[in-house]
Formats: sequence, C-alpha cells, structure tokens
Amino acid sequence: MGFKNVAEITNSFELISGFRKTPTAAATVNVGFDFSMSSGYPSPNYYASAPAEARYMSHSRNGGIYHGKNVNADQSKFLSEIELVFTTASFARMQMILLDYLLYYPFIDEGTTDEQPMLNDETLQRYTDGEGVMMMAVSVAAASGGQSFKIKYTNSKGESGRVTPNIFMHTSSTFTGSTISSSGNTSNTGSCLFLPLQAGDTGVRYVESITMNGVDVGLFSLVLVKPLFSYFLGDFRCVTHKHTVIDNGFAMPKIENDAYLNYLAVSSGNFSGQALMGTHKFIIKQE
Amino acid sequence: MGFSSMDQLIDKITNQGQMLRRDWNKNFLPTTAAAAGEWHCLAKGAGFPASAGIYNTGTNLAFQATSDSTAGAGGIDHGGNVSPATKHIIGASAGSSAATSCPAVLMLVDLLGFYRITSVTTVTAQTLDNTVTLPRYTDGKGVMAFAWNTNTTAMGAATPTITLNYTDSDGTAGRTTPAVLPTCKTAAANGLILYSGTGNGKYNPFIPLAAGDKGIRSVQSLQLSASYVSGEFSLGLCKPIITLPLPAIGVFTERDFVNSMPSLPKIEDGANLIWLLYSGVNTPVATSYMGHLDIGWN
Repeated sequence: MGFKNVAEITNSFELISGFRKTPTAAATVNVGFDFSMSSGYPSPNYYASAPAEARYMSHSRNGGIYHGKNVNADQSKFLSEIELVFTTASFARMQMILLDYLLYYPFIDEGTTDEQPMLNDETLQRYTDGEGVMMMAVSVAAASGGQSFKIKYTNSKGESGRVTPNIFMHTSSTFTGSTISSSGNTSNTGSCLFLPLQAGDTGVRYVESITMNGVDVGLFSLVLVKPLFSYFLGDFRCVTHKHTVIDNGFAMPKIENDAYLNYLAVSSGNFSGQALMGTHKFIIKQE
Repeated sequence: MGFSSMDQLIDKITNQGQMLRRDWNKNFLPTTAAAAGEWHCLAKGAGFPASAGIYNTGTNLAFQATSDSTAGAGGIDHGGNVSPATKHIIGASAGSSAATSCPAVLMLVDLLGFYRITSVTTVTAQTLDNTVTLPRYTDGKGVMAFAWNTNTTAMGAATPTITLNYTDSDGTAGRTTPAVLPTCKTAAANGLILYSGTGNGKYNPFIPLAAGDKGIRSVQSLQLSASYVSGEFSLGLCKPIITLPLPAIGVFTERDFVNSMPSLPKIEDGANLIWLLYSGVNTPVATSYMGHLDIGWN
C-alpha cells in the first residue's frame, strides 16, 4: 500500500544505502553503459550462467543496490531521494536510468546466423506479465560491431512469435558493459538503448530466440529490465540531488520486493576509472 | 476530472498504482541531415515506438483519423483508455548524447489525423474530403496543422507556397492562411516540415492561422502556388502537448509537471503521441534521442 497524502510521506520509515562504482571500460559517446558490471559497491554482476538459458535476477540472488528487507503485502516501498557525484575531473555528463534488472539470457553468440532458441525454465519474478519490461543487449565479450540481429519474443499480452525490427549494433568497437545496440553518431538505423519492440507491443514476457543477420566475434547478454527512474548527472564534484517527490511530481518509483537495482548510463564522454558515489533513500509507509 | 488535490494525486499514484512509465528512443530520419532551424516529424524515425508506416498511405486528399490503436501510427503507448478518469503527464525527460544533436527542442503532439497529398503537381485549390472528422478535440480548439514529407524520397525541386482554406474552432468556415504564405523547401527531405527553417516564408512548426483563430476544426482545401514536381506529403492536424528544450549535448531535460511546472498536461483517450524535433544545429542522420514519460490518472 502506498501513501494517501503528504503527511504519510513525511512520516514514512526511511532507509539510506550507499553506492560507489568505478567503471573500468572507456565509455563511448551516446553508447549505453551497464553499471552493474563495474567494480565497487554493490558488487559487480557478470551475467555468468549457462548460455542462452534464462536466469532471473533478484537482490537475494545477485545483490544490487541495497534497499532493505521485503515489505509486507499491505505495504509498498518507494525510492525517494538520490544523491550522486563523480569525484574525478574530466568527467562527462550523462543520463542515468535506474533499472530493476529482472532476468537475463547470457552469452548470446554473435558468431552464427542460426536461430538461437532460448531456454525459459526460469521466468520473470517481478512484473510477471511483462508489461513495461524492456530489453537491453549488453556486450560481455567485445565484438567489431556493425552487424544486426532480431529477437523473437512473447509480449506482455502473452502473444508469442512477436519479432523486433532489425536491431543494429553500433560501429564503435563494443566493450564489456556497453549496450551494443546504442546508436553512435552513425547512420545505423533502428538503434536504441532499449531494444525496439514490434509495433503495438509495450513489454516482453520472455524471449523465444535470437537470430544474428551477420556474424561477428563477440558475445552479449540479453537483459530484461524495468526502467524505474531517469535523471541527469551533471559536472564532476557537483552533487546531483534528486527528490522523486519534489522533483518528479510525486511519481515515486515503486521498488518491488527483492528487486535487483542498478544503473544504465548514457554518457557524453569517457568516464573510465572515475568513481561514482553517493546514496539512495527508500521510504516505506509506517504501519 | 483531473486531480482535486496533492493528496489525491499521491494516493492515486502510490496507493492505487495508477501510474505508468514509458521509455522512448527515436532516431532522426535516416535520409538527409537537418539544417539548423528546421523542424522534422520523428514518427518515421527508427526506434521505439517503431517507425510509423501509415502516413504515406490511404486516399489522396481524404482525412484519416489516427489514435494509439491505429496500426502503423507510431505513437508512444500511454496505457490505453482510462475514461471516466483522465490521464495526465506527471513528468518527462529527453536528451541526446550524440554529437551535433543539440541544442534542439522536442515537441510532443497528439497527431489527430492527416490528409495524404499525392497530387503535388496540382496548382489549383484541391478540395479535401472530411467524411472522417477529428477524433479528439472535436471542436478544433488548439488544433494546429503542419505539412511534412512522409516518404523516404525527397520532394521535387520547387518552392511552392501553401494556402489552406479551413473551418476554425468556432465553426466559422472560409478561414484562410494569412500572408506571408508558408514557403516549402526545394527537395524537402524525409520527415521535414516543408516550410520550416529560417527566412521569409518560414514558419516553425505550424501553418499560421488567420488572425483571431484559435484552432482548426477541418480543412476544406489546400493549394500549392506552383507544382512541387514530384513526391508526396501529408497535412497533419495535431494538438501540441508539451515542449522540452534540449540545451546541450549530454544535458538531459527533466520536467516535473506537478511541482515545478504545475500544468499536468492531459492525454486524451486514444491520443497518438508523436515527437516533432526542432534542430538548433545541423542534426546528422539517424541521431538518437531518448527520454521517458511518467503518466498518471485519477
């Protein structure tokens, strides 16, 4: 249960958790970067499990930003504040997107044009119908880029056999942690941070298969995520403070029980080796 | 209906779960770079929502209404109908980190429908078919018109002006585009709003209305002053919703429509939400823009 009024928000139970990540990869302009794979706190995630087999993600299984214990069925938890800062010079501004990482299919082979079926013994644990669930493709072994692929999936209405448009990998060399479909300033069409869906679809329930249209040398993980909150991270040593109540029209992102929280960032420059640190505050209605 | 208080808004969003978030990512058109000062319609741009395929189809000169359920319309999904409740934008963000993508301005419109114009060599007033009427904002208040190239192929080498004869939102017929008439660009590229840009005869992004008019209910005729030689375009009728300035590369704009800009723009049931882009610089082809909408209903 959420809040009925401002008074309940101000009387809520609060939890503050720390965050410190140091990306090691040299990010490229306008290419998405998955902070979950970077060293620091929370511990890195490597999407390490059996290739092409669905593996759900959760706080209890994989970690992610700490947001406290699960709440009772009649309570709800919300993200209320964020304070983050880059402490190193030469930092590039970026857009941060807080995600609930739901499930991934690891080690998709870019070296074959055979249709690669996915095994779905594990399914979404949160947002189980797939509504609002998006896909991102994260490089886990660098490729040359420039190829395209398409994905067959079941959408949030339960309709199978849905097919994405051709998704183009950017022509910048992919690096571990980068989202391979991000558009650089090239003529690649169909490139997106989150993979485009078939017209009319609003979410993904699970992935049926992936087919490369041309071969490359790398590997990527396909990750199903629920975007929760976006904000702009400014210049270094300027603390970015976001209050989801005051700055976001009370549209406080709800945090599901056992959510795996981490960030996707889109940078306007290289931020390798620069520590991003700060805190997140979560609130729960007092019983 | 709207929200009657902050408490009700909080209750509906956090307690009743009446809120959704929609992420979007649209690429600038893939054919020709924009010149600074031009407006483009991003409906046909690749990305999510997928590229729209409807705006260069259908019967010449006939109005076709569009909604969020129209196949190929390319609008951002906003969760379906909520009537008798009303739906509002609570917050939005947008930006780009691509080189030469900013400064720019994004305008979200509800594209109500369009007249496909294939008879681009005709220089007499062409009667438009209004058997189908506006699906939303039916009186036309606040409804504006824009003409854009809906094909991959560029328009012909000509610079005709456009004159509309329309019925305004008060129901008064015979209203016409005032001088100075909007002048189309020669070889206007895919997605370009034909008369946008800088200089005499350029308007950004809507076709000007006659003095005192507040909107268009229907368009009775369209006249080009000269043959456009080849290609086709569409005349769209839309309701502007929000505008997001993108001041610099990598600087994402965030708008809170409750506290910092209290307006809670309303999204009608069936709205076909499309982005128009104003280029402050020469926007390269396929440049990626992204953002999100937070939408709540009472």
